[in-house]
Amino acid sequence: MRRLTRIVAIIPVLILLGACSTLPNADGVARFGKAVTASTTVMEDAIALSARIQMLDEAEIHAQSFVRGGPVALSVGTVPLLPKEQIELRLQLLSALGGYGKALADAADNGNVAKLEAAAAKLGGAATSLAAVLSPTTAPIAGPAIRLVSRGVGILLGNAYAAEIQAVISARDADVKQAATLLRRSLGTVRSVLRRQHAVFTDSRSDSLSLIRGDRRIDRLRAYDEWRRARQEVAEISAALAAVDRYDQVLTALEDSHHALATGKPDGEQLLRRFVDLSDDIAALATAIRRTP
Amino acid sequence: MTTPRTLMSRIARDRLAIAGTRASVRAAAPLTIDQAIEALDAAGEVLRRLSEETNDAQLLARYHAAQRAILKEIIALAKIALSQHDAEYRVLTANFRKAKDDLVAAKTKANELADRLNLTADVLGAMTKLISAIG
Repeated sequence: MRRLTRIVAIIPVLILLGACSTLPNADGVARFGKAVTASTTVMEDAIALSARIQMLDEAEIHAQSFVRGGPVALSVGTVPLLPKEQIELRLQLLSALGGYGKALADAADNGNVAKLEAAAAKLGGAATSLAAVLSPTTAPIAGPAIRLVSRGVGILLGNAYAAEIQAVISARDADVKQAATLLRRSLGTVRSVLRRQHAVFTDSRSDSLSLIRGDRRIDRLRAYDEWRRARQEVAEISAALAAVDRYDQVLTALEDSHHALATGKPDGEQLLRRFVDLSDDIAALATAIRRTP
Repeated sequence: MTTPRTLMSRIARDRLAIAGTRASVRAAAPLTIDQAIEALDAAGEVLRRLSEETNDAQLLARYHAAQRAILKEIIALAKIALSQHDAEYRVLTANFRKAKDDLVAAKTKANELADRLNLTADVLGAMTKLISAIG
């Protein structure tokens, strides 16, 4: 009898050894989702900034021309230097990454595994009740044994699900790395364009200031105000450019957060909960075996 | 006499030349698009600094014209650079879309399985009640 009890006690160890996969950590999944969003924002902001600088620069040139007696030319509408179509494939990639991140967050919800394990345990409970009605004499041992088996089946099902999710993550890790490398290169190119656009706009703005200062009717206070206004506009563009400059950090976070998911350690809390549930069922079965005459 | 300003102007002119027209002659290997963009950007940066240190209208006009010329060149190169790797982007996009579909399918499958197990448990429960009532 003691031997049988010992054998029964080994069961949870065997089940847990075969079921060590857990879903990725929720915080890690959230970090990856944030990194994807940040990457998309940087890319879209960069193109929007290019259009903004271009518009400001053209306005500046038209304003200078107007002050010198040229045409009024108030209409807006030029071909963008960096059209959005130019980065369309990058935005599509980021959108696909976003969809993947969202699906990952949904699939990695621990509720999915808990639902599977609970359903298997419920089935075990129902089978136990039926066994007790059909054969009251064997029920004291059959009940806990059925419950234990169903618990084990539930854990193995949850494990298979977690392993499937983990396999998808691991298979995409190299792709995330390659995507980050390509996007880094593209954003480096866009950043160089933005830096030069910024320099050209700054030149235009300083040309306007020289033009204003060249008019002898402009007093020092007016010149001072104009300089402060120009400085403010240039500084605003610099700040927006500094935000785009974070692209390297953002893409590194994208790579690192996904790599952490692909190589992450099993969720200790989830493994412990499984162990506790199994141990309870084992204890019940061992007690039933000992009580059997 | 060479003033610091003249010297910096010469440096800027040389850098522009290296970045642009004379690059293929001077360099051992031709520049890649990315290197050319980087070189033009660096030349533009020198011009920007020079522009900030002078009040000479003629010199400023030349610097500003050169800065615009650099922008025009850099945009032309950027368009070429951004049209590279299209095939790789398409493959990666398709891979991530498939991964999303796989994850959704796995979750759906797990939920359906749980629902089926729950249904079976409910059926067994009903049978138990029925047998108990008959017995």
